[in-house]
Amino acid sequence: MSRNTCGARRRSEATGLKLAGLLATVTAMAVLSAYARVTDAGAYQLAAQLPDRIWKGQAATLILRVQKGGRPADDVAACLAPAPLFASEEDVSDRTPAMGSDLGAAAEPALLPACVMAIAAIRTAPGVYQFTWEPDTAGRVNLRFTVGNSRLDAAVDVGSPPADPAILAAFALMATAILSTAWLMRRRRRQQGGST
Amino acid sequence: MNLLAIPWIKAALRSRLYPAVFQWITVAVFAVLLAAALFGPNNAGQNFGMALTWTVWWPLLPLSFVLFGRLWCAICPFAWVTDKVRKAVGVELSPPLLLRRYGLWVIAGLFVLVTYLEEAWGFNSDARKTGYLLLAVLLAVVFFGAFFERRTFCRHVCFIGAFAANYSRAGMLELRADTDRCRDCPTQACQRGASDAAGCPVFLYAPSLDDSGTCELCANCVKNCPRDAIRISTRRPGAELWSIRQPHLCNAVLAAMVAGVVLIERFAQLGSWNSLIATAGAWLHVDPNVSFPLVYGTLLAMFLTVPLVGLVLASLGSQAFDGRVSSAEVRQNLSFAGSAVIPLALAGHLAHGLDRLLMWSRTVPLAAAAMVGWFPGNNGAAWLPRCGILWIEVAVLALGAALALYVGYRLAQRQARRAPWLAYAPHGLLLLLLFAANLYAVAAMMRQL
Repeated sequence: MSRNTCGARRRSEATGLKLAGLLATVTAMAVLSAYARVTDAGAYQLAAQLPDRIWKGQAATLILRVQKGGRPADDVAACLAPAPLFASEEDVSDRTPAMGSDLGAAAEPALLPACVMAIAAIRTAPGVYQFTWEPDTAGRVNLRFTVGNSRLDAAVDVGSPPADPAILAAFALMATAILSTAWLMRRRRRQQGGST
Repeated sequence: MNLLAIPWIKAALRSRLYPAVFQWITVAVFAVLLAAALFGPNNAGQNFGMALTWTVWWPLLPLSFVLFGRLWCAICPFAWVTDKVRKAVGVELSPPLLLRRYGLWVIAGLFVLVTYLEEAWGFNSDARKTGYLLLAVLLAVVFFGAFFERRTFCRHVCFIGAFAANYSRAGMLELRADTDRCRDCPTQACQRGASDAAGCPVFLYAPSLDDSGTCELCANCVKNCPRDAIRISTRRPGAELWSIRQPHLCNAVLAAMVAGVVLIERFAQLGSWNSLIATAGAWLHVDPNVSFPLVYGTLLAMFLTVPLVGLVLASLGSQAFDGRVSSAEVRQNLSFAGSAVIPLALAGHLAHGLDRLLMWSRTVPLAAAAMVGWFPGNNGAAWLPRCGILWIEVAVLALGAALALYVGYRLAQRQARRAPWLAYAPHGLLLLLLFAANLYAVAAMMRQL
């Protein structure tokens, strides 16, 4: 199904597509907002459902509804190509395997007409196509859905997941333990020094 | 030239505001960086703190050691944290014997660990991971500040010391004491401290100082000295390297390791890097995409080992030509010869840093804009055309290689009993090979354009 040609980055995308099957019915509809945009340009009418919030490094499920002549269109190749508006150093210089589906900017072709450098969809129902995208570029990102000569552009904000509260709490706890232990030791030393 | 002979410099260094003013600035910047790393955008290129750290501060750091010695260490925010923690709760224990004896090896180990984490686990491209790393370092700083005297962390633990010390030795600034004036000094205030300032934070005694690898140029000794014996002088780059009296073996090892780290970072930029990763994965019988940390770790170990083994073999060859092959002689030769590798490692590091600085530092204002939700577009262009940047890197590498070869020859002249040229030949060959490897990487990048 997937026609990803991201070279070394194929693994993470493949993982994402595997995840798509698992996550599809469980999480998809719960996190989706209303239709982001509808277009009837070209032979197909496209409507995309996007999550309210997408986090960098976490898989997001995107739904594309495809119709032709008012009827669900089956057996078409639906593609997604994220094209970040902001080229980051990471995307351009990073040649190591990415941890997410890195379809980043600059050195890589951004928007391409078919599923080259893009994620192919999995059809989950008549006319309903599902993408699992794991962005590793945060910021405002342009998404382009294409089906044949029809396309739909939608910009989404990809945020960064906040720092892990458990790690912050562990840091605070350890720092407090160190400081209080040292303070007690110093006090004891001073008391011992004063009594002799 | 003694900079302390210039009145305003002397007044500035004797002022209580030095280095405090600079520390306040770096502490404020560090606070912003840490907050940005933990709570800002996760992308290195969109996170102001990350962009500033990795495209400006990190590339300029080795240059600062060359120009100003370890001045950075005097104004480092971690040094400030250490001092404040000590003042508040410090127990002031002596540094552990283990650290005093093997501190340099601890630094070397931590340097390798941080390098590995950066690349294998993407710490330098992931703001959160960088934030966690900074928190871990901060915790260590708090620990050492709370329990041990002076700046034990800076002296014996900080991984930046892995190259800071060696680069400062190759640098253009030195702090020394006029030993004639120091004779019979009853106070030894430079080390012990006086009413004007605390003693040397890194345990140095100015009259015995003949090495710029540890002094932080905090100027406490300048403030404290009752006889005005301290001088801070400019000097020729590399002069200390060929006149050093007692080089430490670990410094030689660190120089070779830094040369290896620079090389692997260079090769990671090449188009052939993915095939190298794939080959290493096949060799290890693992999928490099799944086990990237293992594959990278193996490659890192190879890149670290090759210059080191080369240095050992060169020292063996050198001693053989000189007719003295004993383990003690080879060890001593190795310790000295490591000094010759320093300029080349430094040049490689500087060139690699320049690459980042000139290519990416213009993303810093864009990252600042991105932090407040404004994306002005893909305008993070380089300062110069890529080809021009690479030629500058070639020039830096050539200068470093020339200095390395010169230092190597001067050391051979000092040490060799028979023909210095013959004793020098193995090390000269090694330096040329390291230079060629760096040049190859830059040339390959040129071909990629």
